[in-house]
Amino acid sequence: MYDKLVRITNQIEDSTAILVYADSLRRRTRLARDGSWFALVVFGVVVLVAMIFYHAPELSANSTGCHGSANSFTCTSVWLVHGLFGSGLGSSSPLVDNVSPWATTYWVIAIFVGICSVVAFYWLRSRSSGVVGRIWPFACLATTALALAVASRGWVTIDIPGDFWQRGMQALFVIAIALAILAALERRLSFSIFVAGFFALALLSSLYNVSNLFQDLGIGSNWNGSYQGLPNLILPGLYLLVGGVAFWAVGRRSDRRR
Amino acid sequence: MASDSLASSDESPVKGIDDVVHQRVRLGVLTIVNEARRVEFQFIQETMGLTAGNLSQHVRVLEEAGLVKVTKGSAGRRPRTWVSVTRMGRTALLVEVDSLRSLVERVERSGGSTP
Repeated sequence: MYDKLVRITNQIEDSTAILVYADSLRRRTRLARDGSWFALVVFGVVVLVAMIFYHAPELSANSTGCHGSANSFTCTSVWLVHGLFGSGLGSSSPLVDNVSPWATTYWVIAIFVGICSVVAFYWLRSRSSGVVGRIWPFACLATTALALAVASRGWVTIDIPGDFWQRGMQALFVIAIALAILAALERRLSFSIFVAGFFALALLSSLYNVSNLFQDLGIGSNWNGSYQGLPNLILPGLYLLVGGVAFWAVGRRSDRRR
Repeated sequence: MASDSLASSDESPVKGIDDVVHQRVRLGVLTIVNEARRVEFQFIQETMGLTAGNLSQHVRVLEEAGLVKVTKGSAGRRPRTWVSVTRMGRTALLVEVDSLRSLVERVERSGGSTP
């Protein structure tokens, strides 16, 4: 009986050591494969650059030939957007004040370039580290989400309550979905929680004038007029950018510890 | 005695442990390749601190058991060897890790005393 117990005890100590060892190998491999910080930086820049298209002072519901009533709005002209992609992202409706007609074109091109650059980064990283992850599901599903968002212009103003689209922040949800796909591929809890936080910010930016929050907190001095919509992009944009830098720094520190 | 119940248990605590996988290096290789679509041989070697010959032997055992797949390629002029996990390998790894965890948990539940 004693021999049997000794054998089992040794087996258990061995098992614990093997599990700890396997866990450390798993973390090191994930670290070598992970490029999620880059995606955060890229999409953070995409969101912040979009501010250029969100303070067009000459555009308003009236100036674009549209007027709204309690239940509907009418337009005298349907050619209210420019570029290849029409409306659907950013400027989903002519009632979105201060949003450039080029906003949708910007979002589509910028998000697609962002997806491509993330894939390219993962590819280059895999060549140098020797660990090839699964990045194509991200490319395919994120591009599909973007295409669906563009195609949604036909029904977005009918089936979705106005509060969701009237600030022209739908593109943030496309980015949030793309990051959620990346989080699922990376299987990293901290990154998943961070992406969940971005989903919350995307929802906040769609439903609420973040400029009120900025003014209450004393950030900046004048968020009125054509600048009113900018905080709705500054907050999620900075969140992604700062998060990307933080994830990069943490990864680098872990890498040095090895 | 806490360990008596463990020793006299009907079900062996080492049931489910596969001899091919239940080896420190081979379990390590499977753990690494399970985290990616494919991993370069050199990365495994450097991460585990093994010689090329030693790692080759273990990879061969895993390959013969159908747990990993080895492919040769090149990046520019540099030849590369890639190791990827098979479906069978992924299952074997999960079973092994579950077995090890349940073994440790059983002891912890029964008091964790050692003779």
